[in-house]
Amino acid sequence: MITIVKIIISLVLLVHLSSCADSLNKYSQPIEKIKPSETLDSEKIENATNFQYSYDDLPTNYNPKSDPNADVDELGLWMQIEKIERNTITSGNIVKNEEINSYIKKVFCKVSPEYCNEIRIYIIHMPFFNASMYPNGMMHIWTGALLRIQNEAQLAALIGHELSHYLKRHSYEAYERAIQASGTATIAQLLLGAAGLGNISSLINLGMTSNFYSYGRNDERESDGYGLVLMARGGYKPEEAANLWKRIINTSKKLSLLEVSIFTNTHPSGPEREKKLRELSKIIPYSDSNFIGKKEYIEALKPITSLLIEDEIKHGEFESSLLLFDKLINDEFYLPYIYYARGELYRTKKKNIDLSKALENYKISEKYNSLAAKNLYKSIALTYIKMGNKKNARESFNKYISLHPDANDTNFIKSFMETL
Amino acid sequence: MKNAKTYIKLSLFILAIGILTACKTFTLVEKGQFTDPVGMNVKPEINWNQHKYTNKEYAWTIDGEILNQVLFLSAGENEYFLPFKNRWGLTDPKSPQFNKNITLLEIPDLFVKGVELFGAQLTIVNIDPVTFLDNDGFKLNFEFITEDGLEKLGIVYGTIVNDRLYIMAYGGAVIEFYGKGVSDFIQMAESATL
Repeated sequence: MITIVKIIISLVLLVHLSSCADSLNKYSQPIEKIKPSETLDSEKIENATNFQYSYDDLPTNYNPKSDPNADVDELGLWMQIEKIERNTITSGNIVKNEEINSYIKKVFCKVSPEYCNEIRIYIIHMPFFNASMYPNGMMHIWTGALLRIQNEAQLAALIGHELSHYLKRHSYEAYERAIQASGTATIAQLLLGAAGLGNISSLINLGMTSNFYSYGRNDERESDGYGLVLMARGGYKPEEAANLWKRIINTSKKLSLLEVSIFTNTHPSGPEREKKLRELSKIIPYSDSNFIGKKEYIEALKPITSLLIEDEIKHGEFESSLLLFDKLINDEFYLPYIYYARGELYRTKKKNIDLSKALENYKISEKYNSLAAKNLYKSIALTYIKMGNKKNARESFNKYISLHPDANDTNFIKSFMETL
Repeated sequence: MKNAKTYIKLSLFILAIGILTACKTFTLVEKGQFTDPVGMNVKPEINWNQHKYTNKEYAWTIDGEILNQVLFLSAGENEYFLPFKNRWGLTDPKSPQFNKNITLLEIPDLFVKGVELFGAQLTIVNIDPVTFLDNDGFKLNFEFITEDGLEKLGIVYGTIVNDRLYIMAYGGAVIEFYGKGVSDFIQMAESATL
């Protein structure tokens, strides 16, 4: 009888394990990109005289939705993707600032005048480096990507890369694979997650959805090549594509294991990819294009810079955010706000808060521009409270109130000060 | 043989408990009756449906938790409040956590970060000082759009008593459903005691 009990328990365990295995199989669908024969180590940098990506290979009037031969599955796919786009528009997760949206649109139109009115770009509130292209012509760029990109040419590189996925039908093929690997009942939910619209703030959920929807290594290689052509044809210095990947590599060193997984699944590359892009950028047509646009990019980002940085702080990954902020300081990017943000990281980290370092960074921020970060003096006051220095806390609160008499928490702070 | 039967019964019992605990059940909270979710004594003036998540998290609703919801939350040293669960039911470590070094002034920001983990982008309308549970507290008014595009409004009352955080929050869809419970929520929050 004990044997029967053991069998029952084994069966229960087996059912659980097999369902887990099913889930894992479902989410680790793009196996092709990790074939040993395709590892970058075995890849040879293409001969400089044999540049294989031509602008003429790209269609100039691609419109996959108007295909008269579309079958039932394909029509069903369009319906699901259009639902994702409707959800994108109505969700509270997109950045609606008109200035930044029109700037990104302007860069897109330089990269691809032919598709200027066809492709819809949405900026999604997600503090990770990512962008995605959907088969219906919808492009998502995450706020974490905007914060890591250093100039307009790098933004053009990202856009060119994503657009190439669309024009070479990689996006459509990726969805087709996803449908084959999963029931249609779950695909909408997963794609919503991939769109940054599902309940995916949890990194674990995010990792799963990113795994679900990703391209093969050949697709990435091809999009790198055509993306380079598109950006250079738009007048942008092609070498910035390699610099973008270098930037991604440098700012991802301190990512958690799960974030690395998300990152490598959507952008399966490393130093070799950067190297290859650098080689290609010297030999492609339009290689004399030289616009970088660092000032223009930083200026364009101004209306949402604090929002991007706040998203990064909320992200709650102390080590990787600190590394990114260090890089941004090297770039002299919006210094007063970056020092304030570093202070926030030290003050609000969950373990081993470092109040001295927090205060040190707040003071540097104050020195640069005491008005750059609205909550600077409130944060300084809170730091002093934790240090037991009530006098300085009161002084800092008073500075905050005098600078922002109409802030939505002024009365609350005044009342709180009475308890100090 | 007797032992084996006991094992089978035990296995089935554990299985049943597992299934039952996975089901979400609501009980009626009758108007005019005192009740004390997470230790806060309140007396509703309308009927509510109650779901107890844990001893430190209760939710009440009239039309369903998506449309209107009161949350009663409490957290002691190093305990999560508003815990965000991932798909495996584990609490996301980024969920807001209370400790005695956190001041009342920091609670609204932590609450906002906690709500945003659920996928919403929240805007604080104002934060005012109030007396809540006979102590110094705050009242936070906010608005947000959910990940599926539903516009919502919300109010949060919070205070810290004897190194323990207490929160009563109400949120509802702007159209129709927020209005159905907001007055009763405010009267409960303003008269709540420990």
